[in-house]
Amino acid sequence: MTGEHKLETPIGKEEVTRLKAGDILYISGEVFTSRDRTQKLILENRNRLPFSLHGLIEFHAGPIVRKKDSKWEIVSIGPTTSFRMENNEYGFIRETGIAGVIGKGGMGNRTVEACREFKAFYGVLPGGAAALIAKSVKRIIGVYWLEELGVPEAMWHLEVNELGPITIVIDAFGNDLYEDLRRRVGENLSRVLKSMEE
Amino acid sequence: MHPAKLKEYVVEAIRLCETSLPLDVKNSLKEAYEREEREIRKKILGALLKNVETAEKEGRPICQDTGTLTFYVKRGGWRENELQRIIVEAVVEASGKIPLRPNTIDFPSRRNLEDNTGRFVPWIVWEQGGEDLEITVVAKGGGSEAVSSLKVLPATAGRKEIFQTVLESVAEAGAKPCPPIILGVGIGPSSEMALELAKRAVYLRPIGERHMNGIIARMEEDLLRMVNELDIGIHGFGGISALDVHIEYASIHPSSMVVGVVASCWALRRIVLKVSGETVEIKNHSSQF
Repeated sequence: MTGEHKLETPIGKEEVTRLKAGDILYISGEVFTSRDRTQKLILENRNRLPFSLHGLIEFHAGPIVRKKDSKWEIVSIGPTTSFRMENNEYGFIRETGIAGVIGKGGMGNRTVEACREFKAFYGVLPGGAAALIAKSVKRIIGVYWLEELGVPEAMWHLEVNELGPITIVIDAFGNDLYEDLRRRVGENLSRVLKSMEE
Repeated sequence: MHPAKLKEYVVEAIRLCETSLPLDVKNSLKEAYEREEREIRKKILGALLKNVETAEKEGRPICQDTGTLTFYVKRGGWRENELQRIIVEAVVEASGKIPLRPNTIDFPSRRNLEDNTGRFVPWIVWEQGGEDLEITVVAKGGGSEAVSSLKVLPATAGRKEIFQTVLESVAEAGAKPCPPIILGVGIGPSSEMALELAKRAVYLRPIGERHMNGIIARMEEDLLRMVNELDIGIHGFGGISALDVHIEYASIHPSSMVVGVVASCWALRRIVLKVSGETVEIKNHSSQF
């Protein structure tokens, strides 16, 4: 049976431990985009940011934005391939105290470890559903390193309302739906290849 | 037609390409949604369809990754350099107007070029034949590009080795290319031909249409079944993995057969703009001018 949760940031450890791999989640409150070169800059400057990352959600995304009356607005925003961030994610979760990471495509073993150790989760949004997801962004609170990194990689600090559906892939207990997927697909591949020999 | 007018149509074609889906893709997704019974999968497919509806209604790009643009062009009576100029100008204009994400980075300086044009970008493929001007616009994102693959097999390789190459590539890609995918396989005598054919197989032939060669058509059906038996499924949560498999081939070399594998995410973005005199037509698309 799939559980469905609606949580508001900052999200506490106790709330995170209620999320199980396979559950559906909607988030309201504050999230920030971060990917590729963004993570390093956030880590180096986290004490200088005007807000705390603790209990917030890191969103692997690169939005399309436009300026309207000299203010930025989000046109489309959706998850990017998370695995590119695998090398830095363990340290990022440890240092920032974020409650979770959302993206698409899955993460590796180090992120699973980080989620277990620091009570965090990894979830995926429907990939490519960027017009729909943009509707859940209430406003842009701030943007950092826009000049330096460009629109896709800048850190966009967003207020969201019921951002989802997010499927929990890695929970705080070390379960990883995509590890199950790799095992299942591996077995199926062997079976299909074998069937061609007959 | 006046070049300035043509440019406006190309901008409009790019807009439709990025903010709506071709009918064959949309219908195929709807069918998958109707057939699906499991809760998470149905929820995700439902969100994808809702997303397309929102994008079409509000003119927002379907995916934030508006991709790298490729144009397949039958020139009709037009001159190549004139069409090249019109297309590049249209991309610049569309980037600000739709808007598109600034997706083109100068390689040596790693500077974002901001307007989606750069060295060899957009990529324009000049096609043979056709009395009328026909421009097919394709947008392909980074997520599905990340799983493209190429393998050189001996020319004697049989169906089994070819299938194995394709299936291993799809299994390795897993949930990364935003499945359900549309898969293209190109078979040819050289690397660039294999990948070119694979990309054409994905993007230029509508979903559900089989290759006119019976042997190839049969291979497509068998591969589609096998890819779905891998059970990667919707975003990796099981169920339908591929909406279709298309194979395109060229005659091979006596010693080598190159197999290229290219996937599109579920959001396959393609549009065909046909210009005959002053008449403009958009084919196989839910949104018309």
